Amino acid sequence: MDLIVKQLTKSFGAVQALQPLDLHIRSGEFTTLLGPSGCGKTTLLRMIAGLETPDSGEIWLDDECVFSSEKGVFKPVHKRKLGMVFQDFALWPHLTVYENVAFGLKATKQTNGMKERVMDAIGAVRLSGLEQRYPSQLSGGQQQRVAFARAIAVEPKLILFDEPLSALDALLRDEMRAELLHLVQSRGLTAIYVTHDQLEAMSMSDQILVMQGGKVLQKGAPEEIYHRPTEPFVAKFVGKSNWIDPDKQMIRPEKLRWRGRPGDLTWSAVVKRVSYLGDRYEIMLELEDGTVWAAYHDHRLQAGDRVLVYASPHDIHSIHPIKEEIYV
Amino acid sequence: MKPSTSARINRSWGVALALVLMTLLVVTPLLFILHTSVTPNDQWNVLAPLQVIMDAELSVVLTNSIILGFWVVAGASILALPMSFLTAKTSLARHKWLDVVLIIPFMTPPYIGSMGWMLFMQRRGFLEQMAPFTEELTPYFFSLFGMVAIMSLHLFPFLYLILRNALRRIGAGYEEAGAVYGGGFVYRFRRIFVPLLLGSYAMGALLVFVKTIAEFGTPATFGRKIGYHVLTSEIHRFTSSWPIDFSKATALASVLLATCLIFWYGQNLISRRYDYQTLGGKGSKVKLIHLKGWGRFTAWGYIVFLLATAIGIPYFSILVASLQKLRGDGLRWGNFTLEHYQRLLTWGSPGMEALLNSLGLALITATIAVVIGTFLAMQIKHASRVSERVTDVFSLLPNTVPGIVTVVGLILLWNAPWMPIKIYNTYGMVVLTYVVLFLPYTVQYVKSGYQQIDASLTNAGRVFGGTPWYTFRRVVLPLLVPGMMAGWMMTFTISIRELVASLMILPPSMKVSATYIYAQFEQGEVSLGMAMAVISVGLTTIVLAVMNYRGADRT
Repeated sequence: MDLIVKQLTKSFGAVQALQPLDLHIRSGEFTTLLGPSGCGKTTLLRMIAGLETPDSGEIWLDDECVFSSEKGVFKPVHKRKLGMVFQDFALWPHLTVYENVAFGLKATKQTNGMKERVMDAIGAVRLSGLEQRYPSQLSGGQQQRVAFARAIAVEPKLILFDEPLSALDALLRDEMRAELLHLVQSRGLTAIYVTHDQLEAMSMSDQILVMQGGKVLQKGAPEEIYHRPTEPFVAKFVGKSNWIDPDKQMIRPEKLRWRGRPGDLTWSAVVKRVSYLGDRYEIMLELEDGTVWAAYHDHRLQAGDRVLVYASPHDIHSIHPIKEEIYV
Repeated sequence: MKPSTSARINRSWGVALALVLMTLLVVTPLLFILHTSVTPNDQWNVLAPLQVIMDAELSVVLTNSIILGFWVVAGASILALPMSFLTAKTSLARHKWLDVVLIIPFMTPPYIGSMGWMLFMQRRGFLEQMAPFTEELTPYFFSLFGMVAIMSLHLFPFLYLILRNALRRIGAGYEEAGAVYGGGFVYRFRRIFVPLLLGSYAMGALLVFVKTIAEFGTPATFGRKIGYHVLTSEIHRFTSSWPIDFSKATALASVLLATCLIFWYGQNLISRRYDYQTLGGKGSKVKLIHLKGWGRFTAWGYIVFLLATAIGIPYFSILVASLQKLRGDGLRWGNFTLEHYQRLLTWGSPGMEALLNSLGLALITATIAVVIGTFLAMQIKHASRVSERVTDVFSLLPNTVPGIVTVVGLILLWNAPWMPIKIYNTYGMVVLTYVVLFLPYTVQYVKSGYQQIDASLTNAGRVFGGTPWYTFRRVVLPLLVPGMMAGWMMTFTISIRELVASLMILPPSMKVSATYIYAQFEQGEVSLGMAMAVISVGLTTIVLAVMNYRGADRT
């Protein structure tokens, strides 16, 4: 399902939660809204779901308008036929796994072949045999799977994820991330995924929207976001950044080398701190002007060592914020 | 680390002592009732209580109690449901003072509340004086309807608090999820909202039911006047007015006891089956409905109505009655005086004597109850072993069992011909009865304080070099003190106004404030009685306010 958002805004009291926003998500894409808490990503998601009413703008699902402030259109939540996975799962505690998953079909009276569809969804999340359990009798990961099953059982054209993995512990999170992605891709679903975790965003998405203060700062494929950030904030929020010229020129730590090649730039620095990461060492360096950089090394260095680091000028990324270009 | 042998022996001694104490004070009296009631003529007959009731044509009393119970549950539900919805789900939630104010009806002794209503509605009462046209209507109030209204207004706060908490716990998440998955408003209400609330409602309703059939104050005042007799008032009649008939009293008491236990058991079953661990905290936003216009107007109208009937009318009546020069002269400027208070508080007057008796008894009772209650709570600990659980159940029994039943049991036991300790009809018996009745408060408060103390706290105390006694004194005790204070004050306030135990246990010629109010209202000077009511309620309110204030900076 194509989702089109036009000039959507929302404020809570004096706080502008969402600046005018345009967005086009194509069918079958996995889009992530990435940003720190309070950036407006959850508000945007809830407005798409219909749980929050925008102040102005339009929302279109394919060629159907579900919200328009001008035309006075507001399609209520329960008629939008979406799937959603909540941060706290929101499984109904008085219903069994089966009943939870079947809820969406029963509520919309799609009772033909309901049992098969429910069992198929439960099977897809590998919970067969636990249909008659209550949510309180399941582990955190199992509850999360029930929440997925509930979302895919209604076969939605668009599925919304509101930080679905943040309630799980780190190990489980990695496992569920892969499973979730597999489920979404194998069923050809269109997904919008809200998270503040850059790792989740990078590893799952076709497209990432980095948000801050109710604005979309940058939109693009994960590689683009990482290698060619258009805003200092994006460069800092996604990955580690070493600044050559504050907020204007930066280089990623893995591009720094310990041996020079012809045409390289060179910096001299002092080793401040060394942390072992298992596959390599992270070296914190202090440049002569006091700037702190990160770099990686195969061997342990000693704090206080004087070193030289090199990098190719091609690996230096200059940031040209869009708004500055307008002024020029 | 294993506890040392001596510590283990200490502990088992403690639990054993607690069990013996509770058996003696609480369990034996209750068993005595059951035993006496099933062995008339020294022969076992489990159905004997029912037979006694049938033979004496007292079955109507049992049905009266149960009918009353059902009606009060209905009445309390009608009052509590809209209120709990308003403070849990709408913008009225920010009016925190409502919660404090709504506790007042339930903290008002029921006999005083009933007296207020009677003064207000009676012939030539305050309502008729203010609005003469109501003359036609007021007689209808003196019926089962009026009794249900008074008791519902007294008991609805229980249900209100339970429902409000349940409503707040049902986070917006459940409903939002229901909406996303295609449930319309009605469907969500039916499939999500009602089932989640039902368990809590059933628990609250049963609680109100048990409290209704166990209540004495309203039946003894309002019920007596309209001739609606229930189990509690009849038990009192058979034990205190001629002809005294203890076998009928115990039969009724055992039926009341059994009924209450059955309903408590039912409550237990329901809470185990339907009490869901609902979402809270992270992620479950409470979405409040913003009330505007007519909705807001209706909501506030309802609140004003509720506060006026539950608090305004009874307190207005009591206060005005206590200040009137001549009751016949009605509501008129110039008919007000403080003379009744003056007479009441004159040194050596019967009123002052009763008040001092009440204060003295309350002081002694509260102190003893706190000592025993703290000891019990520390033996119960986390109620993980059987012996601890049994102690827990026993020590809370006086709160579960209707007060009048416990009192009858205590009379049967301590007045038995073979009883070597002759304290019946003495001051000591009154203290004993009060302590037994109010022990559960201290146990509850101290226990909840004790259970907050995690083992790691005492372990930390020991790691940093504290001896067990030092750790107890510096870590455990300070954490228990708030609970002990709360227990003390609660016992103190409730002792001051206890009616049923005082009526049945006080030695002849001794009076306390509650019996003084009761006697003055029935056949004396109403104004004096009401002045005493104002003083005793005022006193307890001050103590509770202090307790709340002290508690505020701790929690």
